[in-house]
Amino acid sequence: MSHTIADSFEYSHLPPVATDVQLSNGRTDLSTALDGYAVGEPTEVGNYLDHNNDLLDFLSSLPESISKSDGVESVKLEFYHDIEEHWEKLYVIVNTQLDDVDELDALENSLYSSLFEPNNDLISGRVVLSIG
Amino acid sequence: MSIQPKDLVEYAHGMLQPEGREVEHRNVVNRAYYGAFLAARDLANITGGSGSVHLKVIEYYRDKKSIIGNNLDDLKRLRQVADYEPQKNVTYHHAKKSCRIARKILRELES
Repeated sequence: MSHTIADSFEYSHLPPVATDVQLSNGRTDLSTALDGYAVGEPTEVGNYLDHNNDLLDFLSSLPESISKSDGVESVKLEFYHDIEEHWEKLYVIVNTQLDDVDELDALENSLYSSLFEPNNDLISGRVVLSIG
Repeated sequence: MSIQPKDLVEYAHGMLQPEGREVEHRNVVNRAYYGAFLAARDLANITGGSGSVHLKVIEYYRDKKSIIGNNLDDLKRLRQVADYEPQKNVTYHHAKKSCRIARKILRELES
């Protein structure tokens, strides 16, 4: 049976995903750049991108390219703050219909080698690919 | 050495239970991460267990074989939620995903 697996960690008591309206409040350019994403923790994502706006072109190119792959259901952008070592990164989380480990590994390798690795100089240490 | 890091990953995989309790899913994520992290750290000959050692290991592989660095980053996030964020839901899916990534890291390290 095919089914969607949502990767995101959903809070028990809070809505997990922002609407475009929330994100675009005063940030039309950012909202446009992130078209195609569900955005988790939009304030944090927006603040991060305010200081890392060289990532916008790269990020804006991803949803359309990723969505062409078989089994992809949605693409989400999340902010992560490491509370042990105090570093911050963005996570591009690809939710899929896939359940087979080999298929998930293959999709991850394919997306990473085609979209992320060629841009490693730009994104390294700032953007992470995560396959659900 | 009494155990090897890969033993932690296989322990985590053995603990996977679709009907398991959330605390068990969280334990799986933790063990999977540390198995992969320790294997990567040791192979890179990075010493120390405190400070920013996790980031050092991730950055080392970002330079050497970047998909391993990406996978460590991915697994680190899962582990942080499992260990520090009880208000979020950690499911069997997250536990299974952690084991998949940890096993993939081990394979990449051996290749």
